[in-house]
Amino acid sequence: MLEPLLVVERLVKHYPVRTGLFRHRYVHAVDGVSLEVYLGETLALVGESGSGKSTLGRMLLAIERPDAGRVLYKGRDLSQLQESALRPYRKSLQMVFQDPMDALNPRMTALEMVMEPLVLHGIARGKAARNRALELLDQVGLKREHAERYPHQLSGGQQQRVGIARALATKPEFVVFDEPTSALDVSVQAQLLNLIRRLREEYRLSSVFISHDLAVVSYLADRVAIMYLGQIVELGSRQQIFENPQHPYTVSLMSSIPGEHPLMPWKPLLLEGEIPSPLNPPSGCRFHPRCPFADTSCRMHTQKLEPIEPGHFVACHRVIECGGYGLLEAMKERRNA
Amino acid sequence: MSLLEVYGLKTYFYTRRGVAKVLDGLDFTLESGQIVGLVGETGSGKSLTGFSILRLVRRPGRIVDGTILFEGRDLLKLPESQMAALRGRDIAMIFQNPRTALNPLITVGRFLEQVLHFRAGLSRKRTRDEAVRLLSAVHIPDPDRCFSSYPHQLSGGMAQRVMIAAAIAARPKLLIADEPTTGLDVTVQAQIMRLLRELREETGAAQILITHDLGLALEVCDAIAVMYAGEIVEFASTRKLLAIPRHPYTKGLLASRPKLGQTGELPVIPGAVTDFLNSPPGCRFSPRCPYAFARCQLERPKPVYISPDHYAACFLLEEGGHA
Amino acid sequence: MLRRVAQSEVLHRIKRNPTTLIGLGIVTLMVALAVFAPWIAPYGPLEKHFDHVSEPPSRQFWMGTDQFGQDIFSRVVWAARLDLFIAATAVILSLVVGSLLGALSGYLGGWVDEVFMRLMDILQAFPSLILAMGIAFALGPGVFTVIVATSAVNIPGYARLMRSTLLSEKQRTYVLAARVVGNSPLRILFRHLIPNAFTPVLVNATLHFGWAILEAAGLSFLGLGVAVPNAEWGVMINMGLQDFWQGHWWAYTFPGVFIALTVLGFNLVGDGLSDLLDPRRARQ
Repeated sequence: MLEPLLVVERLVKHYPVRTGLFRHRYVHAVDGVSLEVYLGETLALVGESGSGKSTLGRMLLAIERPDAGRVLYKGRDLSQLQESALRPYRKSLQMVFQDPMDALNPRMTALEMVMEPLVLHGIARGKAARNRALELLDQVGLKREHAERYPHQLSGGQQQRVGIARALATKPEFVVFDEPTSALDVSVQAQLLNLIRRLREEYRLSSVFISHDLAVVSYLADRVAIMYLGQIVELGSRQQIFENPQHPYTVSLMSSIPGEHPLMPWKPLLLEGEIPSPLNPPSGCRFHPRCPFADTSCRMHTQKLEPIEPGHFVACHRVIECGGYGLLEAMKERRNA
Repeated sequence: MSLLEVYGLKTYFYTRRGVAKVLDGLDFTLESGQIVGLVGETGSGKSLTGFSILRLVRRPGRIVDGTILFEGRDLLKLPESQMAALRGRDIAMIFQNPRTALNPLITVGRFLEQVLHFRAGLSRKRTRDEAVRLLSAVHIPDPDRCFSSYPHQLSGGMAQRVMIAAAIAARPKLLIADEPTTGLDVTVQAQIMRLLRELREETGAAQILITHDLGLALEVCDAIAVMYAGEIVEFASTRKLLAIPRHPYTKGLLASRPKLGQTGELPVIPGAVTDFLNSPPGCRFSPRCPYAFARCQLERPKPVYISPDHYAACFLLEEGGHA
Repeated sequence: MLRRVAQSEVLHRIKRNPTTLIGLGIVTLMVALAVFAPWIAPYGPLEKHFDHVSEPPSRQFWMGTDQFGQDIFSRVVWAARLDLFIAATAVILSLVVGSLLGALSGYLGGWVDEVFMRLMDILQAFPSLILAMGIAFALGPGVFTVIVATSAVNIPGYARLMRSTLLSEKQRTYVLAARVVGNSPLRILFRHLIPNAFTPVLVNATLHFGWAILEAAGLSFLGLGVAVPNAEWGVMINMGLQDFWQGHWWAYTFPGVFIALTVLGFNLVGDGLSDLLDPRRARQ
């Protein structure tokens, strides 16, 4: 059994929001998440708005301090370190951001941005740094002429390539990809996904890939964690999640993918209503107001992740009750009714 | 007679650096009650087509030439006053980012009442009830509460439903939806799409769905027009487009979507969208086309009919074979 | 930051704005007067001609003479030097101090920010000229006083501007990215935030220039700045007005015109510059 590279224990993050002159309420962004990321794997975090996936991603890199819980990187708890103590870790922990344009300094050229981490961490200076940066830009598919350009002179896809080059400059061990292709066109997305896959091999990266797009996730992920309103509702290998989704929310997510679903033999499960605000999450199982299978216990008790097969966990007692296959059958019946 | 017939639509942008001939002779037909998708990436001209139909093109863009027949009348020849009467009544449009399209200072209810009074011609007494009815018709859970809400209090999905309610208030014959679900959560997206389909059943309105999401269009539309760089490169019923795509760009688009269960590398369309200011004389897709040959760069391909409801603009088809 | 705007773009924008051209012309003229004063002015600034006292404009003295027999034209030219120098120094001083303080305050946030902003509020509660007068009283008349008073009065403006721009830039993703990459907070402030928040401050400075001249001349006119009988536009008006009832209009009119013209010129250039660098310009 491999040792995990990154371990997250019962992470909690609540953002205070002022709702009155003196009243405070809290956005329950992340509410008790525990995870492991193993060496060399890509774990996908899938969820819609309010799921907390981006907040979780930031906590993994110790950019945000959790309100409770620990983030252990190679055994060291990052969540308690001061900013200055964290800086050496920034060499190994990197991020690629969602909005390619916004993630680049408008007054720095592509070359300068890729050189910066090299210089900051003492990896190279001057001409050596410049050459290494050019090499990196070449690796991500940018030509020399792009190196001296400013972000607004580059296309979305090119900007994101710069972002990737910058993240890989220090040869990190772990990278968080926060919806890197959401803002890009389909054809550009394909190019970038191929690039990420290739670089992941070359750099032997362990990564967390955050996305709302299950199709993209199926292309890149080894394991998948489905999040809803700050909690993980299902966790499993790619095959397990896509061929045998158990949690009703997971099934509805899969059903919402437009287009054909060769892996899904059953008819879609479409949800009513909208995602509740994380300011006021429902009691018990947070999914119960929209769940077609909810019972009274769902309203009262929060659900824990329980295994239904090796490596496959679901936070739904109804699924567990039915032994993992009963609910599926129940769903099939519902569809045919 | 078709509901909408567009012939030779030319919409150009007059910029300091030259003329961008974005739409350069677009042809398009829509039947009553049909849902057609205009699918293309950024810069394909799909939104511009929608705006051109409603004559909402602003400087430096201008509709330079063409014919747009709506129920037999040429919209481009109408005086602005008559066109304005059509907008919001016979032809309605819903936009991306619904929250920004709503006036933040008035409640949803007042907004709908205004629409009903000025567009649907309802007397002020009846507007309130009708507004609430519209809100529930678009599946808003608590119509009365929504009626008294302000736009910023609504979620994206609700706001879009309000927009749709306003758009159908006057029972339009044609609804143009410009990226209506971009930015909305996936599960909400599915709901909105279902709503649009329902609307077609109930009101018989035709719809043009403008989107960059090919998967979405495949799911919802009867037929799809694939656009690239201002031209419709392929048009077919959804089933046929999926089964036998003919244009290299369509094939590329279909292939580059990661599908569940895909393992190998994603096939990719190399290069980037062309620059309208320097568009090549030939086929606009030729610089990126894996099958391009000499003729492609010299002449613009004309649509070739593979069957009565399926055409593609590619020289490969004329040779009799296909890629 | 002009790197970001293409050459042709700059020229085109200027051409589209005839007022900017006029402003540019005026400013160039004034700067030329200031720089080439020794060669342009026929006489020294304090050179007296006792046999040509308070004479109207003539061939020899293009703008006439004042009560000490000093050539007004020469003095106006020499005064350009002094006034532009004072204004430039004051603007640069208040820009540097104000924006630095504002940047630090915005970046550090918390109670530091609160306290600092309240201090700025207090400063801005005073009408600027009154405040300047107060400072000038305390320091006594002189060039140094004028510079300090004029710059001190304008520090809150720069501080606020820099702070608010910085606060909004702070939210941008590239700042977070800079942190992830490993920048120290200080480096983030100086290498990433300040350069990007600087443009509005710079634009404000050009608009401020004209105002600074007005303040400097105003203080001197009131006797709180540059002392009589030095060649400074405000001083000249003061001196000129002393003979108002004798109808010696040339003694105060010409310096007044020059002040007005200079302020106008800088304002027009500032407007044009702000138009040029407006980040909300529609992109093709």
